[in-house]
Amino acid sequence: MNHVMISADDLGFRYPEQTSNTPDILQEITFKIQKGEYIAIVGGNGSGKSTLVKLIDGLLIPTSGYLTVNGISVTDQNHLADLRKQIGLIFQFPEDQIVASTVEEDVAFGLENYGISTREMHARVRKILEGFDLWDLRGRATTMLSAGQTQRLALAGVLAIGPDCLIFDEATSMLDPAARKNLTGVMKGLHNEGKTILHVTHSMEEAFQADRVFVLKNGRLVYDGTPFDLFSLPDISNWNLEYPEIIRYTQIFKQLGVRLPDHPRVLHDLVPYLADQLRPVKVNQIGLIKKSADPIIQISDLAYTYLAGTPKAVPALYQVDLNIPANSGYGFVGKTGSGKSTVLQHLNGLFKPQQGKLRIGKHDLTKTYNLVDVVRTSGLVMQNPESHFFEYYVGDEIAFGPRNVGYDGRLVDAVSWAMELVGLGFTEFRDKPIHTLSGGQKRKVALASVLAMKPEILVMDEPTAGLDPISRQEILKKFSLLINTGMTLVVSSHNLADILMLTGNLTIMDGGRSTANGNTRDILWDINTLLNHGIEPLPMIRLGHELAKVMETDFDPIIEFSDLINQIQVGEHA
Amino acid sequence: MHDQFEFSRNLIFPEYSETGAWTQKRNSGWLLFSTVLYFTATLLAKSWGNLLIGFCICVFLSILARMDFKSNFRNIMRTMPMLVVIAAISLFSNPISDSSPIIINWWIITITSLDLENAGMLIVRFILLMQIIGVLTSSLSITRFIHGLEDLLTPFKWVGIGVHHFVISVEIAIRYIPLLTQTAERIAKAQASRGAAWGSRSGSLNSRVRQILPVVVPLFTISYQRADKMAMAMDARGFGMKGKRSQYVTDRVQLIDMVIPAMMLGYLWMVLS
Repeated sequence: MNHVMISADDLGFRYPEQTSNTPDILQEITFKIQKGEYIAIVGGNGSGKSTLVKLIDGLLIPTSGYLTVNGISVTDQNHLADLRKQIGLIFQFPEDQIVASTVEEDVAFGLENYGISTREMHARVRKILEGFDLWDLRGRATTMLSAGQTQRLALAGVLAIGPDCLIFDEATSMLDPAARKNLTGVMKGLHNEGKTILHVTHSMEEAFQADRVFVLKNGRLVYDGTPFDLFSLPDISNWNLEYPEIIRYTQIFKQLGVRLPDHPRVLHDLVPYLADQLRPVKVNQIGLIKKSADPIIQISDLAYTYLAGTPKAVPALYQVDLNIPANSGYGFVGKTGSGKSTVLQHLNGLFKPQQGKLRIGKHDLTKTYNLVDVVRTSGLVMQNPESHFFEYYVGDEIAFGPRNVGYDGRLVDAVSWAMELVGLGFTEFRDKPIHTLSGGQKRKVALASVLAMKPEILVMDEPTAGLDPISRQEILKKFSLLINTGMTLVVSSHNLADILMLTGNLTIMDGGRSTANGNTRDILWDINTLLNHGIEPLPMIRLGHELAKVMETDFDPIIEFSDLINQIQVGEHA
Repeated sequence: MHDQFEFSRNLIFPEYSETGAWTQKRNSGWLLFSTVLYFTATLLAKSWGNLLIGFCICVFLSILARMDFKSNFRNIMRTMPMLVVIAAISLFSNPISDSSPIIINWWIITITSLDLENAGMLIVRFILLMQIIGVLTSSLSITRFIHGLEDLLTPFKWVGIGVHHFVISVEIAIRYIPLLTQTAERIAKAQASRGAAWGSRSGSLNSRVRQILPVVVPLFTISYQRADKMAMAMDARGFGMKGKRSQYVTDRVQLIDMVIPAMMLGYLWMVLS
């Protein structure tokens, strides 16, 4: 590995429309990337990560400094085609990069642009589609693919060109854990084939698997080194980063006197050491049986088909049965396409049940209802809610909901109450233009814009997706406070850690059916049920099961680190 | 049923999906040329006899294209109010006096039996043209449509007009329609979940405009961002690079591809003779 693939020297960038008092998007960036390296690029929302990768692909032109790919300057328009052939860029939302109307034509699009002969193109398209298990779908319209198929197609279209370097720009952020694991597996496979990988991510677990990490903060490269050195630093929160689980747990175990290897990669690496040095302690857990509150949402035999009665009809729900207790947190988990979002849109009255029964508070949705009345009871925060903003100022956006549904007292009080609840000071933020806010602050505005209607139930679809670790932690804390105010929280998330933190009960959705309902901890501990539904268990739960197996003991559910610590003692087996 | 958020229902023409239909195997350029001929003949047709021939050709091609008649009929019926309005306008604004029997003669309005016949023909022409567009959209994928369009516009290349970039722009614009529809659905749902009275058909014009603003503004923003991302995705895959672009789909012309154009030419000849 002594061939420099990408080289940046004092690189800077600013958009022409930026005002003179705003800093450059990227400033004084210098690095060298060797061919075949696997680099993670991390940093808070708006730190300049995506701008950097666009510069590397020649999609933006630097405003200062130098940037070369295999010796070709990104400003050299005569060799731009040679440069772009070497770089493959995978976007966060794969549907954004699908250009053609059918699967095979989309894979061929890049090859057509580079003038590859028709015969060779057909051979390459077939090979790549077979490799991604899409050959049988080659004639299908690209708009008719599932989320997983679209992701594979986006990758196939890029790989068909045969780039040496692949850039994944937050490509894993919207995926369910199983799909995320699959895609990171593909990245590792490509890396093993000798490809250079640049992975922009908010996941510290993913960054930890890289050879090298770049940290960006306010457009500057503030760290360039190994993940071990990065996560050995005493404080990384000012870079909007957090420590991966493996680092946090290793430190605690070491403090307890357990001898561990210097650089474990995953929790699984700890199993033999822990099994050797720990012994189980029987804990008599005093079961506090908490009586469930009366259900505020009741669903039975719910079914729904999109575009029902048309040739494009797509069944989304077949049978959903569940009750959601009042004043609690309730979760929905399941693979992409399992029907979670469709159920959530029923809980807000956006969809009327086509079959079955649905009651939300006092509203029976099987009968004719007024949507505004239901919205007043149950507020919904949809995925990527900040993309639906239409007002210029924060205060106006938040006032939109209560203005529509009515409010008790003064409108300004409703807005102020909601803003303070999510941690946005009313006087500081009400007159701020929305576009000047950070990603985390925008998500808080979206949350406040629903909370201002003072609903009894707050339904949220992937509320932390796309946020950097610190913004995610902040917003999760706000959600926890909401439950304490007596609100019922319904959350759908691919992130089981969010579900664990916010909910007491959950439902697993699979293929449009509610296949398991119950206590969150019990279901998360039931590793076989999760795996049978294509859900990747939390690493700590896997560790708990592996330890139980190796130590030949039965643990009570180990869901969080404290559960493990409570059930072990340091010391050799008797 | 709360299907006011399913805007995709309002797409009138069927979308392409591979069915192996006979028309899907035809040369795209000649299929487009045939459609142009059919349009010309149908718009020029002046007798019920000619329109009957047009109707037979339309039904024949619809069968070959394996179209879903039921849903197609439903789509056409949805446009019927608009067609009736257009026919009514033509009925009342016909300036040509004729000698056919007068059916209504009141104030300044005079309607003859020929006016009625013309209005009826207008509706039939629209229905036939809509159906034949349906045959085309269900027979050609967007990319093949684009290749066909490029073939059809070949004469412009001879005089130095850049056809290729024009047709790519058309391709993206067409591909955008379902994406825009899905985005509009999502935004409408997001705003309705904040109490916006989406789908209500009452209220003043001012309140109706205010009602759609929360959907139109983010739709415009998202569309712009999406267009920017798509342009970037295309650039990233080498679009617009110097050098000749090759073609994955090569539409070779076979003798059997001439069947439809020949049929259309016959139809046009009968209309003109």
